[in-house]
Amino acid sequence: MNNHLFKLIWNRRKRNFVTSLGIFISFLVLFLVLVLIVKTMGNYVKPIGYETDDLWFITFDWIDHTEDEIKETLLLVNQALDMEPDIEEYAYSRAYIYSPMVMSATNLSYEDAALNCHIAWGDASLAEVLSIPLAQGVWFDQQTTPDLLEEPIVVTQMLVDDFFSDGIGVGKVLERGEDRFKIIGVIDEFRNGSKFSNSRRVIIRQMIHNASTFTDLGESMGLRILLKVDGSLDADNEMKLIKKLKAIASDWSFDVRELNSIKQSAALWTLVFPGILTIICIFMLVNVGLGLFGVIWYRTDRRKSEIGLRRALGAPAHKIYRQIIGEALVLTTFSLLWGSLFALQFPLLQVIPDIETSTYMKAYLLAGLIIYIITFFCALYPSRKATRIEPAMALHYE
Amino acid sequence: MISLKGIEKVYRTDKIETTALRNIDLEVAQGELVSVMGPSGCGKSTLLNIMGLLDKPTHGEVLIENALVNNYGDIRLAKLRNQKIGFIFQSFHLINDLSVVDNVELPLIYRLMPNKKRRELALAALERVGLSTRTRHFPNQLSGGQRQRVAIARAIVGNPEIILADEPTGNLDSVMGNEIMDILLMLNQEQGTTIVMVTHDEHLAIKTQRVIRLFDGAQVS
Repeated sequence: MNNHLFKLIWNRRKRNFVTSLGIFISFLVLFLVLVLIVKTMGNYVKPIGYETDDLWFITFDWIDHTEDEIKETLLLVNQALDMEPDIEEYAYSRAYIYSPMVMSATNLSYEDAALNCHIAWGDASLAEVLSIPLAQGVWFDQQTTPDLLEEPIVVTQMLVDDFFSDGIGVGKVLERGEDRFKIIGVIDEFRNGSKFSNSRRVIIRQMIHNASTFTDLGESMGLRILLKVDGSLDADNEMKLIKKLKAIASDWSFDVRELNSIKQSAALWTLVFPGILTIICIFMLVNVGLGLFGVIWYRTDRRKSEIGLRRALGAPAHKIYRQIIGEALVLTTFSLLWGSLFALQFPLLQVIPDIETSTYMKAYLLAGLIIYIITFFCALYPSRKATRIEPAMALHYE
Repeated sequence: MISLKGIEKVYRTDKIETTALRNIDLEVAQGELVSVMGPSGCGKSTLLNIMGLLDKPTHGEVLIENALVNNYGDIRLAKLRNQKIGFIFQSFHLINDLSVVDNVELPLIYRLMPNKKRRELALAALERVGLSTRTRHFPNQLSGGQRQRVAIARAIVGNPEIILADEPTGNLDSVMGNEIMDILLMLNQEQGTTIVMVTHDEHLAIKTQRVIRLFDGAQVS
């Protein structure tokens, strides 16, 4: 029977071309959307690289202040934070954690290889405040004055994997024109956007805020002080803290918030693009499903005579039912075979960067399964109708 | 072989009730070649459909090899049609998207049978109707007579004991009609196949062993 179905669909390939093309295009679009969704969902279950429980952050802004004034104010802020009993540790950073802003990026080279890498900034306390585990080497040391010729950096494992075939990053020096960056530590991950963000090649540069170099902080944009609290910091404490900070610099604006409070919005922001694509894809699939349903119904209706003949030759109703569904599934199989030829080019040619073969395979299997399910349900009703065709009547149709 | 007792067939719609067959008692013995004649609309095809288990009578009993089949379910009826009965239709009813040999194989796909065996039987059936050189052709590449021969090959491929032919020469000229009739006679005489044939053609009817005449749904001879 399977041979018969394949033969029938193959012999009717010209008539089935448009339907088959529709299934083929749907499969490819669905496959690509699922690649994105599988990748995004895969990100969610991976470690993000840091912990944000009991973390608060201060953002601030200053207008028309000299470097000395900024330095002086921030030193007073540090003193105020040191005095707070509920604050266990704090760190300066420009890492855009849970922020829709993207980190700045630059091209770094090592020997003949050059790769685009994202840049984050953090001080010596950042690893402790964010509980960032080190895979290799060490974090920045506040007490040590960095080598100005080879600036120390901490990098993510992805950067190490992409640059160095031996998998060892510590001690290697990356270059950007005249600048040289020496890797002192390697961390597993640093996905700043949200749990759904992709892994990136990140270098973390050191922010130094001792009395002489505080102005390295640069402008206020993106600058945060991350506070590790003992869990008891509440809204009242938040207001008290803002008041204390305003007392230090009344013309500065301060905002204190819990870091996890922006976690959800950051996740939503990351999901906007896959979400839009998913909605478009669902709309497309509904249209394809309705189209397929119409085509199968129409064709079944036009095949009354053939169905009557099959019944006369010994096909019971349930075999007619299976045949109509089977034909739809075989047609889908032909379309998916063509679709597969295109889909398999993506992992082979690495068309989309940073997507693993396993992600493509999962998306491929899921897309195929969804298309088969849609076809199956589209064929259900027409096939049921076909079983109700009276053979004696149907044989009079021409 | 086939026994009809008190058969009545009434078609009902919301407003009209039409009696297609009334009080038909008929016996067709094994190996008999019977023709059914009558004017258009007298119930010949309805009678054939009931004999072929494609339709159920409103009243009366249908027996195939002495087994009452009125209450058989769909699967048992389909199996009976597949194994005991071969159909030949006036308009051939070939599937244009399948080759000649695939069309002939059609009844066998509803039997558990290896593909190779199925193909062998189909080729043998085509050989018997003289179409062994046209197996890869498609129906629209054949003449009317050749198409009907394909339909006969399809009817005999499963080696049925009964062949029901509904005006098998109706769409053919007299030469081709005679060729088809010769094949049916050969099947009846050499294989002992029971054949019931609906026809309008007296010249063909006289070649059969018995003529059943219907008029206005009733058997008149």
